[in-house]
Amino acid sequence: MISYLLTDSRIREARELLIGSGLDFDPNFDIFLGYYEKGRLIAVGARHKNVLKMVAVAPEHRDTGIFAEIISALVKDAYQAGYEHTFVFTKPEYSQSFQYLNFRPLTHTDRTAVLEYGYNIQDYLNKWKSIVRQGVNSGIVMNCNPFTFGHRYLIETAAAQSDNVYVFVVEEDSSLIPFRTRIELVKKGTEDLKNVHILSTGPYAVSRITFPSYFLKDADKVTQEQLLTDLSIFCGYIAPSFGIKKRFAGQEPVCRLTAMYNEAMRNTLPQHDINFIEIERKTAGGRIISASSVREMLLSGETEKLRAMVPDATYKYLTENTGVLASKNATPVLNS
Amino acid sequence: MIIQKKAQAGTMQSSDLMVFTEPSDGLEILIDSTVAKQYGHLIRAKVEEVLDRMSVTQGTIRIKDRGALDYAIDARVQTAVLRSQEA
Repeated sequence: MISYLLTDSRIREARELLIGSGLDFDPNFDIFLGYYEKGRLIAVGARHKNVLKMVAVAPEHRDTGIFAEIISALVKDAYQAGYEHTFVFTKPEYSQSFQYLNFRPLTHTDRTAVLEYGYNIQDYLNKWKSIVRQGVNSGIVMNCNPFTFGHRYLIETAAAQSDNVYVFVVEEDSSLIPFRTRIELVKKGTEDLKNVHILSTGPYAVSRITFPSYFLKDADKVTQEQLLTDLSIFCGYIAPSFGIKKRFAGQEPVCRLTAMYNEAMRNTLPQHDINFIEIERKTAGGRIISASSVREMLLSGETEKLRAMVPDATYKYLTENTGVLASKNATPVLNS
Repeated sequence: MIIQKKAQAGTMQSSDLMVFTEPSDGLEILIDSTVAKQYGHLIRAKVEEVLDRMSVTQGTIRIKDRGALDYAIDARVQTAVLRSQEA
């Protein structure tokens, strides 16, 4: 029988089962399920948003259908919570067990395999097929929180050096400005650039799946593992599908996290025949234009200074929504 | 009959299948199966038969199959379609 583990004592039991199976307990989860047989806990599994984690089955029950039972319950619970596309991080040796349940392998390193269920990256790539053009193409992955003249400068520079530029706007909704608005402002701010195509990353670049610590803003938690996972998806699926030969990024003098990401691109992309091109950041009034300084100016009421930093559409949005953004910024939920 | 909302039926157990429905403009059947190579065409034929019998003309049906026999496919698809109707 499967039940939700709700009390501390039940969670403690689950923890013992995990540790006994060589897995770590991670306090970040939305739900924890346990499979009981004659009052004994013999399997557990947890979910945090669209990620399944901490799945363990007691050794003497591993050749039964209990693994499928617990995963099935997790996927159904996720579905009911609105997550039709789920992911699991597991050890490479367990990848096959998930594949038997129709999970599709996405990427793996020596230590971690990532698999997905419900939809897969081919569905994502097929969705954009109609905008794929032949040529020497470039890719840029940007959050654009919000879109500034700095982003515009990077896109223009790439557009002048490429047949087509694909701008992937980070879809993960963990930023001050919601994804729908961010991508809209990028589209408006680049309308005149004919060889530039704006699309969303899906969960496949700089997402909670590929790069969880980007959203924790905690550089110490960035592991090479995560950077490699993110870039292996870009190099293995996205770049080949879009004919991307160059990836552009702005130099990063301030944020250590982004600097580490750039560093990883500099090392990894050339191994896949993709040039990594770092562009010097655009300045306004002697200051580097960055989305974070734009947000600071907005929230401290220095609205007039924004004129020199952001295109008209962004300026209009920011000034019309200052109140909403300021109150959202004050809500700690943002950091979850 | 058209698929009016997202719905799900079935399990991930061996010899069972998961069926997911969602509204869409056309009628689309997407099949993922551990036995797709040998039996993909038979699974599709069965799903089409059930949809036809229930006069389903619009919606997306996604199947994740683990080698289910045809009466299991029939039951799961029928259940998912019925659950996809607004109460």
